[in-house]
Amino acid sequence: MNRKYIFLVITVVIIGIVLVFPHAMVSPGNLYQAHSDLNNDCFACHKAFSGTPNENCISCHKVSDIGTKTNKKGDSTSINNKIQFHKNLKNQDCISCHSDHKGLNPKLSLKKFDHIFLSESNRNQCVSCHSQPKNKLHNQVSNSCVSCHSTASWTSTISFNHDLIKEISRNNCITCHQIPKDNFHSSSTNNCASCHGLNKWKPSTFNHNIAFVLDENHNTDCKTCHVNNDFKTYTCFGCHEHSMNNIREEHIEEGISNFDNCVSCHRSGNKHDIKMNENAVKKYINKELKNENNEEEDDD
Amino acid sequence: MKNGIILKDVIPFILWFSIMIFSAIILDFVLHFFDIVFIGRYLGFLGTFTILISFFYSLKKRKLIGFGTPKGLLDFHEYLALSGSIMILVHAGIHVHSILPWLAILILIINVASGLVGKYILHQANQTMINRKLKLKNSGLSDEEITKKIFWDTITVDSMKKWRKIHLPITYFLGLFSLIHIISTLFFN
Repeated sequence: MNRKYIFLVITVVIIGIVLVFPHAMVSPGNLYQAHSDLNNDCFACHKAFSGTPNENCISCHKVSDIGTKTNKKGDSTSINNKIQFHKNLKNQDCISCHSDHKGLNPKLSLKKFDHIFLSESNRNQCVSCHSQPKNKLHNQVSNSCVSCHSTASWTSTISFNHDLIKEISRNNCITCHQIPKDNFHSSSTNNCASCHGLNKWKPSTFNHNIAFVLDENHNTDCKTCHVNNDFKTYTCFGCHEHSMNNIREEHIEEGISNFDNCVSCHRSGNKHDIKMNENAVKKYINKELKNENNEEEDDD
Repeated sequence: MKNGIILKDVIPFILWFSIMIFSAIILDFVLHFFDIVFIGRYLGFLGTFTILISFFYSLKKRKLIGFGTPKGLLDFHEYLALSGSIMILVHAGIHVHSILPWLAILILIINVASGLVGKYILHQANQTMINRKLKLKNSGLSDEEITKKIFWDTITVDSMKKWRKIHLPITYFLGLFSLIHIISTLFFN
């Protein structure tokens, strides 16, 4: 019997604490600064079992005043597009966007805005609310935001369509993309399209086979052959049997004294498949690294 | 071995309990990763309902219902109460901002632990102690020597019995806090 009374007393005490300190006991976080004086006045916004009716918000924040009077004193501010924005909302349910309790995201007083609240005519007029980013990319593209961005998030999965770029700028890749900081790319000029397409950066269309076939025995990192990321030079020495001494012995045996430029004869990667094609290799390397070929075409 | 029950029964229980907490964290992470946190809200309803259903065992124990067998309903109680608790833990996540829901979650965890002590440890620990006693007796030790040998086991089992006894009072306060949480949510939402 005593035990029952103890339970009853504790229960009453707990309920009493909740009623006396509702903010500490059940509130989902403090209110934002502008409403901080309402912290303990739950019914300034809430109505019992009826949520947070719009009337309670609108009694202080008239829709027509949003954007012109931003604080309780009613100080006039410059007219901006907030007026039109709030007037044009289909569903003027304040708490569907605004949360005044500092909850999960204390730095964010707005919940994620759902563009479905906008009327269809306004939904595609992004620039009436959003300002167009002032960077090189956005300066070049047309005013068709939805081609790349969705209303779900700014960073969307919609792949960028290069056709949106004005034709005159379309081949000027480095206005948006940075040249990779390796020796190979830094030694080439702005001729990205010769290896890279507009859909994907990787894979590039660079054809290594014309210089040397990377077969299953030579499927390795670039730096294995191009030491220090220097794509102008290469070395075959240092891998397995390709030691300087082995190579020298094998070639001297055959009466070959010039064995420094391996790929001039062994382009296929197979030591038995020997083809002397030094000119083609040189021509290709010159084309890719010095872009001579491009200049020749321009001259033509 | 002085701490036979602790090694054989208590540590596996702690590991199992940790896995339960960890699974709740993983589920919460999944909801956030796929941006489907709204499911967490519904898990609150579902978890509460699941735990309420599990109380058929308590009703049976007090002869308030006629159907089911105590053993079957106990299994039912254990399974549903655990599942419901995981759902409630996911529902709470780390998004609790006031004192009462924090207390409710703390009490839920304590309550699950006290229930698990009954299910996974106490019976097993009693059995382990009886076996040890028998083994020591067969080896020719006197009662006094046996008492000394199983001193720590006896202390551990007695502690667990006390721990189990608080299961019902804790359940009461869990129910009270949950009820206040639900009423306040409905009241202000």
